[in-house]
Amino acid sequence: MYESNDQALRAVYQLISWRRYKEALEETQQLLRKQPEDPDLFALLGQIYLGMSDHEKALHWSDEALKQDPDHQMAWYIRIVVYYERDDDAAFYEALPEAQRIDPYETNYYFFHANLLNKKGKYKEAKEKILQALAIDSQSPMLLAILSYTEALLGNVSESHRLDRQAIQYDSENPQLLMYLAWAAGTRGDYKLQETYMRTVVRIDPDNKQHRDEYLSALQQSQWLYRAVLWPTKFLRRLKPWQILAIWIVAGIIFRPLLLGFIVLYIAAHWISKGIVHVRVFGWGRRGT
Amino acid sequence: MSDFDELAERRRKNLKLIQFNKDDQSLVESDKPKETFADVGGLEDVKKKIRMNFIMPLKQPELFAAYGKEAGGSLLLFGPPGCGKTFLARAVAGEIDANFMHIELQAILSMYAGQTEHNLHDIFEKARLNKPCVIFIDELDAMGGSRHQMRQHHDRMLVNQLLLELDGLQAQNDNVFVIGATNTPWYLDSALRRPGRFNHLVFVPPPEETERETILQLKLAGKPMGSIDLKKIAADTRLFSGADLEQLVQDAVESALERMFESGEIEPITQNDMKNALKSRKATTLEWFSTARNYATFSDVNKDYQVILDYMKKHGVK
Repeated sequence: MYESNDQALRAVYQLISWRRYKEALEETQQLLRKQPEDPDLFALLGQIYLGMSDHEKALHWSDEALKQDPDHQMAWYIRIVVYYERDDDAAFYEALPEAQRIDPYETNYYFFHANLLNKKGKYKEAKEKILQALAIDSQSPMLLAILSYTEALLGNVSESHRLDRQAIQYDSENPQLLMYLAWAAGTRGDYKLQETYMRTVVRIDPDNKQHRDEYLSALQQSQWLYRAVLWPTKFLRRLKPWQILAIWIVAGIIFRPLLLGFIVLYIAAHWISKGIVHVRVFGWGRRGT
Repeated sequence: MSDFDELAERRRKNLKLIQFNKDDQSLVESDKPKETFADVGGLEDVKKKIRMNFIMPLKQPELFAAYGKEAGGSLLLFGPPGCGKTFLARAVAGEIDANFMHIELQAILSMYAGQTEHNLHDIFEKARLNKPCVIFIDELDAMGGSRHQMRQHHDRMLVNQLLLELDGLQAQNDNVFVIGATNTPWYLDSALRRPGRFNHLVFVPPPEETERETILQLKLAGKPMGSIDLKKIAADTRLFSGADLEQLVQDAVESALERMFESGEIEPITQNDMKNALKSRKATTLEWFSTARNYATFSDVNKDYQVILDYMKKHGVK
């Protein structure tokens, strides 16, 4: 048994950092027996369940903490993360103002918000959110990385590159940060750098499926054959959806054989480059991830 | 019994097991367990590798010196949970007639949680006082996790201290040996893997079919048993760990107990109990292999985990 609650809490946080959630739960439940109505411990349970990706239980304990203390910062944070990870945008937007009122200096709220805006193609609004977060923490490498990505999406190549350099100076071992920088590099058309970043990401944390898939995709994009066929999409990406549709229709009417040839070439390039990547990573005769 | 055997036996009787006690946060001594390699069922390849790299150089240092190999270094056992790493470490201690100091997760945790009086240096000092001594660090990844992933200064201090103690072993301590065990070797700090530290990496796989049969026999021993085709059960429990097999037997025992409460008579454990238990269980090692494959494929610069891929290929693990 620990001599004080402080020591027991330190042990729980240590176990969480080792991702030993089962043991962390046991220790926290022991603490809860001594202080059965402590909102901090309820929130801690929520945090552990969040680590275990058990969103239901994380929300339950966050609710329990908020019953005791409606302004509990960690409990609100857990709620926001759960809604964000579940892609429950409506609940996220409903909870966000209250969470930010209680903890206005939590830069992750801006980060999550910017990510949602980027997903919807609202790059300018996303940039605004990131700049607000950077006003709170100007040296956050994660914020610099997502800003680099957003600038790349906005077509500001040199600014994106500058922010990439700045972010990497602060932290070069955080897989999430490196993945944003890889996306930024890919959007800028720097496929070699994208591959380098993703190789590091997958080495640090290969057990994350997104990391593996993104790495394989980066390897595929670094193939010249795939890039050559992909080249027109760089141009197409800048157009609005109705403009793309109009081009396809016109091309379909005027250059039908050419269009069919392009589609065949695109499909062939996709599968050939995918095959090359598979053999490079897994060898012959092994299934992928 | 020759004089030499008698002396060895007397020495063996005086050997101690030093363990961490969670309740009063102290190191306690008890009688040393008497396991040797003879008690470890199967794992012949693993035992051979440990003998060649760890035990023989200690027993016949001059022979190995002729080939430029030094005694000592430290041994790292890795593999899926519940496959006998702890038992194997105890058997190594038994093979070299050494005291055995068992450092578990709770002891490591207490170092982080601030009980500085139980720091790592004390543990190594205690081992030096009890030479020959094997320090067995279970869940080594908790103590020697990658320093890069540790944000807190005091977290890194423990890894640094471990490195210091291991280097100290090489420099000034003979007859103190360190064995580490981990389910997640990929989380270990790379500095721990340099020569003189944990340079012997040994993969401890799940038990093979004949070993599973032996384990099932042991777990069922002394219990009321009907006619059970253990060979068949062993064949159907591919990739099950020792712990999984124990759970399987527990489930079967519960079924027999339920029947006993209904009939009021002793009911033997039957083949059907075992089969039903098997239906609701699957090998817990599968999840480990899935993670291990990712590290072996994407993160294994030094090809340390090729052995896992080879094992998976040989046993058709998907």
